[in-house]
Amino acid sequence: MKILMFGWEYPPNITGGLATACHGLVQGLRKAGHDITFVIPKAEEEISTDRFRLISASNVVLPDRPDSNTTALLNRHLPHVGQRDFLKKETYQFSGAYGPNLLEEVHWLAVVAAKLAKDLEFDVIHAHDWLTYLAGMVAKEISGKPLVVHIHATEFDRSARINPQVYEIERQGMLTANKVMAVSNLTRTTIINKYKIAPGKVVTTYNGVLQKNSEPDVYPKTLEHKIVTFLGRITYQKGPEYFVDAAEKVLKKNKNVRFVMAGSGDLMQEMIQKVAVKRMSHRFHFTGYLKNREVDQMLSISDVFVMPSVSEPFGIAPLEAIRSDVPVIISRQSGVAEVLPNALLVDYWDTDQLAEAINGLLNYTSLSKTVKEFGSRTLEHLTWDHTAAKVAATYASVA
Amino acid sequence: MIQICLIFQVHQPFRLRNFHFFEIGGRYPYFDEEKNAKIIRQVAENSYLPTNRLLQDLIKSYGTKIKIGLAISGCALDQMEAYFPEVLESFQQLVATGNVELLGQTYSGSLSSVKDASLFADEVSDHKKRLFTLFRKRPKTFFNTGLVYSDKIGKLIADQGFKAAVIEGATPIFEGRNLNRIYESTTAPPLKLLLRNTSLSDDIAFRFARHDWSEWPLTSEKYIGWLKQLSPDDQTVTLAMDYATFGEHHKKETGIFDFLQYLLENLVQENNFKLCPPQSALKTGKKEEKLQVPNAISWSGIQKNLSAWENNELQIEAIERVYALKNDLKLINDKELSRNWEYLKSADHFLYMDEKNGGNPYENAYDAFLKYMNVLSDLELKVKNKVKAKSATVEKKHRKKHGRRQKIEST
Repeated sequence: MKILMFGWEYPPNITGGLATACHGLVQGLRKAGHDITFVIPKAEEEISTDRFRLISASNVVLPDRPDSNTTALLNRHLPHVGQRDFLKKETYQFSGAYGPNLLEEVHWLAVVAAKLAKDLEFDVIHAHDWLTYLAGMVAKEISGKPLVVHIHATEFDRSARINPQVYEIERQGMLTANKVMAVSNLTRTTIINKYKIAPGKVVTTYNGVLQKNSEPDVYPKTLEHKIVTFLGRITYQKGPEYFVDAAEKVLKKNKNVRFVMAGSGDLMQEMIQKVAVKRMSHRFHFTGYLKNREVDQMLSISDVFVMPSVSEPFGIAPLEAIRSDVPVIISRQSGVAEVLPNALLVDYWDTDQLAEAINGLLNYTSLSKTVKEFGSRTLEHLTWDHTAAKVAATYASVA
Repeated sequence: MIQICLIFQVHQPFRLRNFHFFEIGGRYPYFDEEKNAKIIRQVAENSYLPTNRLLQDLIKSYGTKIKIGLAISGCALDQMEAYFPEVLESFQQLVATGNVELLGQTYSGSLSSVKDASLFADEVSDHKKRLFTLFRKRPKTFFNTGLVYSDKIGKLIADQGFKAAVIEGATPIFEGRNLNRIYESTTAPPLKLLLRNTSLSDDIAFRFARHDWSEWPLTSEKYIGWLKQLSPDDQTVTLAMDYATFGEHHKKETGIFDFLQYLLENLVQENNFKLCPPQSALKTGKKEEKLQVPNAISWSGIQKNLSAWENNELQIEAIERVYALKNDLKLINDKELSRNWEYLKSADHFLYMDEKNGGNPYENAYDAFLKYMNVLSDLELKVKNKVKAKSATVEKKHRKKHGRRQKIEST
C-alpha cells in the first residue's frame, strides 16, 4: 500500500519520543512491503530511497494562482491563512520547532498538504498527532482517500491547562478520521471519554522498540556511586518533582548514590532550585538535553531508570532503558505499563513507594536481575514489525 | 479393612507490617498485630472452633472410633495464645480426649530441612517443647513444611526421633506406585512413610465447592463410594489437608461441615474402614517396601518439588540472607531478635515472592520481596549492632583482666 504520512519530526530531528516512534513505524511498514511518503515541516535533507521518501514541506512549491477547489477548501478549513498570503510566496519556510508561531505553521502544513494531495498517488493518509491533523483532513477532502490519525499524546497529557484551539483541532481530526489509533488503552480511554469519539473507531496500537544492537557501545563507568536516572523532557507531564522528592528520601538512607535528571524543559529551573533547597546538589545532577549517543551513554552508566510520569500516553524511554539492560521503575499512569506486565510499577504521587523501589533495585541484586530479565523478555515481543502489522490491518480496514 | 488416616494442618504465618525502608534502623514492629489478630479470630470463628466442636461431638457419640492427626505449627500456636486464647483452649480440650495424634514439624513452617540441618534440629525441638508444654504430648510422626521430603531429609527427621513422616503421594517419582500403602525410607534408622492420597485429599480441600467440577456436588455417600472401590491391595489412605478447609476455604454455606460430619459418621459405621491416626496406622505387621527419594519433593504446584519457594532470584536471595543470620544470632543470644527471626523463616513469605503462586496478600512479587527485605535489613542491622556491642564488651573484659595482670607483674 502507498501511504502519505504527515509528522512533525523525523530522525535526526528529535525532541521527544514522537520522531523515534515515527521512524520505527516507517521501518516496520517498509519491511512489510509498504511504500511511505513522509512529510515534515522542515528536513535538513530530503530522502528518497527504496519505498521511502522524506519530504520537507518547506521545499514544496505552492501554486501561484488560485485553484478553484483548493481555494474554497482552504478558505473553509483555514480561514485565517489569507488568500493574499497564500499567493504571495512560492514556498513557506517552516521552523519545524514548537515555537510561538506553531499554530500558523500547523495551518501552513495543511496548505502544503493540499498541494501534495493533488500531486501524489497514495491509498491512505496517516497523520501523527494534532500538529498534522489539519494537513490530514485537507488531504483527505482533496484526494477522497481514507485518513487515519495516530494519537501519541493528547492535549490532556501535555499540560494541566487545556488549549481549546488545540483540543478542537484534535477533536476535528478524530471525527474526520476513518480510524483513530491510540498508543495505549490509557490514551484510548481519554479519546473516548474526553473527545467523545465512538469506541469502535479507536484502535489501541502499541509502539515497539528497536531491538538491541548486537554489539552495543560500552561506556566506562567513571563514578563509583550507583546512578539513578530520569531521562525525558522536564515538564509537568513527566513528573520530575516526584523524582526529586524520591531522591531526597533515598539519600537519607543511602549516601552512595547519585541522581541524574537528563533532559530539558520548562520545569528545569524549578527543579534545580528544588534540589538546591534540599541541599542535594552534590548528589543530584542535571545534564541538559542529551543527543542520541549521549542518551546511550547515559543509559549505559545507569543502575536504575525511573519514569514517574503523571500522564504518559505510552513512553518509549523505559523500553530503551530496558534495551540497555537497565532495570526500570515506571508510574502506573503510563501507557507503557500495559505492555510491561512484570515491571516495577508505582503510583507517581507515592514517592515513598518510589524511593523504596529505587532502594530495592540498588541494594538487592536479585531484584534488579529479575526486573531486567523480565524486561528483556517482554522486549522481544515489542517489535515495530508487530506494530506495523497492526497499523497495516487498520489501513486495510479503511481502504 | 482399609485404614483412613485423616491429618489436618493448622498453620498461620506472622504477616508483616507495611514496613517502610525509612523505618530500617528505627524501633518499629515487624509484624502486623492488628491484621494477624483479625485473621486468627476470623479463621478460628469460621473454621477452627466449629470444626473442633464438631469433632468433640462426634467423639462424644462414637468414642475412640473417631481418631485424627493434627499438625499445628508454632506460629499458629503463638498467635492463638496471643490473640485468641479461647481457640487454643478448644484445641487443648480436643487433644485431651486422647483421640488426636499431634504431629511434629519445624516451629515456623520453615525450609530448614533443605537449608540447614542443625537449625532444623533446633526448630523441631522448639516445636516439640511447645507441644509438650501446651498439650503434654510428644509427636512421633513428622509433617514437614509443604510435605518437603527427600532421603536426606528423611535422615534428619529420623534423627529427631520420629518414627514416621507424611509425604506427598502424586509426585512423578512415585508414578505407578500404590499410594495407599505404607512405605519405608532407605535411611537408617528407617522411617515409615505415609503417602498423601493427593486426589482424594484435594477433592475435599480444593474441589469440594467448585461448581464447574464434574463431581459437584460432592456428598459423603459419593465419597465413601469411591473409597469402597479401592482394591484389596490398598491398605491405608492418607488424607491430609489444611484444617481451614472446613469453614474458611469452603464456607459453611457450601455444606462442608455436613459433609465432614456425615463422612466420619458413615466411616465409623462401615466395617471395611477404620479411622486411624498415623501412629496406629503404622502397625500393619508387614515388611514395608522401601522408597528412594533422591531429590526433594513437596505437595506444592504441578511439579511437586521446591519450585514454589525457590523459583526465582528474589526468593533465593531472601532465603539466603535470612539463613545467613544464624551464627550471629547464636552468638548474641537475644530472645526477641531470635523470635522475630524464627517468624521470618516461615516459608509462606517466600511463596509470595513468585507470581505463579496464588493467594498473594501483596500487590505482586516485587512488593512482597521489598517489604520482606526491609524487615530483614532491619533485623540484620540490629543483629550486627548487638554483635559489635558484644565483642566490645568482651574486649573490655579482656583488657581489664590483662591490665590487672600487668599490674601484678609490675609490682
